[in-house]
Amino acid sequence: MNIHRNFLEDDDNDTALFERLQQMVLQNCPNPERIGCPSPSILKAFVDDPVSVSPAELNDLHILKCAECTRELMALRAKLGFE
Amino acid sequence: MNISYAGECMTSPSPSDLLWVIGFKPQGRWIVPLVREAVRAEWPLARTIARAQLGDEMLARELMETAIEQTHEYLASQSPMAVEGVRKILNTYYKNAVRRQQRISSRLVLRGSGADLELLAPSVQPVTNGIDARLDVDSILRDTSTEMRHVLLARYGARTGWDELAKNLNTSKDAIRMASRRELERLRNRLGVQQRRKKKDSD
Repeated sequence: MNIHRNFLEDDDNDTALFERLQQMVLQNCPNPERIGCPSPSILKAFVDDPVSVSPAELNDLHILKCAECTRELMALRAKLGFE
Repeated sequence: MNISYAGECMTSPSPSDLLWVIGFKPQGRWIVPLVREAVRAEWPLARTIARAQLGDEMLARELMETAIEQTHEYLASQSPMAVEGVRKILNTYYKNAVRRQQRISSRLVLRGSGADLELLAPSVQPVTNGIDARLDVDSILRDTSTEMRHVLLARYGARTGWDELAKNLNTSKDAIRMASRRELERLRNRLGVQQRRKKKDSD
């Protein structure tokens, strides 16, 4: 894996950083049994209005450690035209 | 000459045998029976230590010989003592010899390039990468406040812009980024992403 070798310059929103983080989660954190995942409705509410969903409802840092939730969030964002 | 250690038979001549016969000076003759008894008593444990620490017993005899030499040198400057004391000294020198051997072995294993290591253990790498990634997120955000975690989760999961988050939290974008600077920096270092340099007129 060469993530340390190819440095990428970021924008003002640190988008590249979060994209890289997402890539890392997708590659390294499979969770096919969906252990600890928030419900789909929580994830949808989170994408619609992030402030309305508390970290506890998201199971704290879970989405940063779950490829399945990350994929769902990507799909939800795509639906809303974020990506 | 044959010397038996705990039921094992060493065939002559081995370095150990030579130590017994010519390694001791006449004035150190009192040491010989004590060391012999100590070696006999410690040998089964020495084999066990070699198996546990080095993976097998191949070097146990050689390391015991080193320990015998060192024990002899030490005892030569001491007054006669009981066999229990000699056993303790022999055991200490033997364990030191095993530790030295362990260090030598680990240095040998680590020689070579990263590519060589990847080639040697390709099936292990994806698993360790996964573990590292999980550990990193937990350690990077271990001291982060709940509010700041929420901000980072919103940036990650919902791609909410810093401006929007700042508006929701009644603060400025720079204040939010400054508050999460340590975490962002750790993530950048881990993921190899450089921060965009600000123009001088905006500083």
